[in-house]
Amino acid sequence: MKQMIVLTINGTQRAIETELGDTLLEVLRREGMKSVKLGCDTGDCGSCAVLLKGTAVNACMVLAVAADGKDVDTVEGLERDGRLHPMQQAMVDAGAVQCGFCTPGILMSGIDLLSHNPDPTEDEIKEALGGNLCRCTGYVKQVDAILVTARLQAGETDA
Amino acid sequence: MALTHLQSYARPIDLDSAVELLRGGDRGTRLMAAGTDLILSGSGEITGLVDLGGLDLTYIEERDGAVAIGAMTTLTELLEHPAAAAYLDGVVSEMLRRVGSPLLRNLATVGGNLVRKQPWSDVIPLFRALGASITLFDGDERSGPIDDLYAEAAHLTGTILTEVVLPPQPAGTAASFWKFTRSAVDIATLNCAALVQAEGDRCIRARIFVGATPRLAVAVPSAEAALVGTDLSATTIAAAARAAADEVSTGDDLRATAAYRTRLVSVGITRCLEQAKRRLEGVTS
Repeated sequence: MKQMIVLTINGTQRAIETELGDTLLEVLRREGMKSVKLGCDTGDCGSCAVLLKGTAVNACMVLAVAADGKDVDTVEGLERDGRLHPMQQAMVDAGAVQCGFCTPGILMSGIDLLSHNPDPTEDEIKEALGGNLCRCTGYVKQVDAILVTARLQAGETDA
Repeated sequence: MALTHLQSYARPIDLDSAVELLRGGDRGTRLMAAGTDLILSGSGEITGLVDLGGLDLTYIEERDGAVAIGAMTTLTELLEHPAAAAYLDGVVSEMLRRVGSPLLRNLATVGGNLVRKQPWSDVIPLFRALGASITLFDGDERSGPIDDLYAEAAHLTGTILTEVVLPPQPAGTAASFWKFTRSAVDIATLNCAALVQAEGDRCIRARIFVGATPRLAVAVPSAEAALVGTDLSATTIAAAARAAADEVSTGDDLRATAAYRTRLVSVGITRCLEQAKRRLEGVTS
């Protein structure tokens, strides 16, 4: 059974036809948001994390029809005027990307964290990344990159 | 596709319509809160969904020492609310921090967790130990103890859980939660929750629950009886732990054997009660 839904993906409203039983993950990938990775499909790995109404969630754990009318943000919307988002740049600078499969999900978790806790401790960052599995790194560089982003953004606000 | 047999989906905006849709649907029609557990079940039996996301059931209100929680409140919203941190030394936040990951807690709801009756639920044993009450709606609204949800005779077809209330606790009450997992975000291999109330040195009330046995959380009356009237000394705590290990029936699954779980019951009850006692004595941590 198909149904039309409306999602605002990275600020652009789209009318999308979906199967009733499809997850948000499936719909986002069909819409070209390939940063949203299908890892475990059971809510364990976090590689499909997106912002739903500004909050980081596993897109595999949300029915697309239940997201009808809501804002969804993915990594595709982070770049501004050809420049990477500060957290993306910090990930590159810290060498936090190896195979890269987990990176989009980690970015979304990190961005959610800084949106409500702009000055997190290292432990708070680790807690926030609790649902994002990375099998290449030891998480150290991702945590560093988020710390750097927080400091950078604090500096910008102070200036 | 996660739910391959889904033929209808509705997101009503009032409770009466929700009940009507639920009753009017076919046998495969289910209520959905966030849907995390429904999607995981991937059940081909689910043919219709009534999504409770359009109802106004997301709130946390402090009412004279009680904390009222709308059923659609997410675990994160409750975890981060000052009312949860203030209630009995933050035992609710302590438990919620151990549930899944932030990405799941941002979706999963308090009501969904209670009504799905998963054996590994961490919310169920603690909320039952705290003596929470619930409000149900089936056209009429009625309130009762949370234990009603888990009674064998519970008849809840066509009924919506709308609210759960953590009651005001008398002075001299402390609670604690303990969970054993194979990894930080795994479901419980076993969990325990305890509430004790003391008058002077004497324990006058105890509520103890053990979950993930691997069956649904159960009360442990023998351990409760071992505590009431005592001074909660190390000896009585050990006696309560022994009683619990004797009483609670455990089973095997991929996470642990029954024998291992029985050992966990003893360890978990001991640690829960030691923590509750420290809290009674005003020792934080």
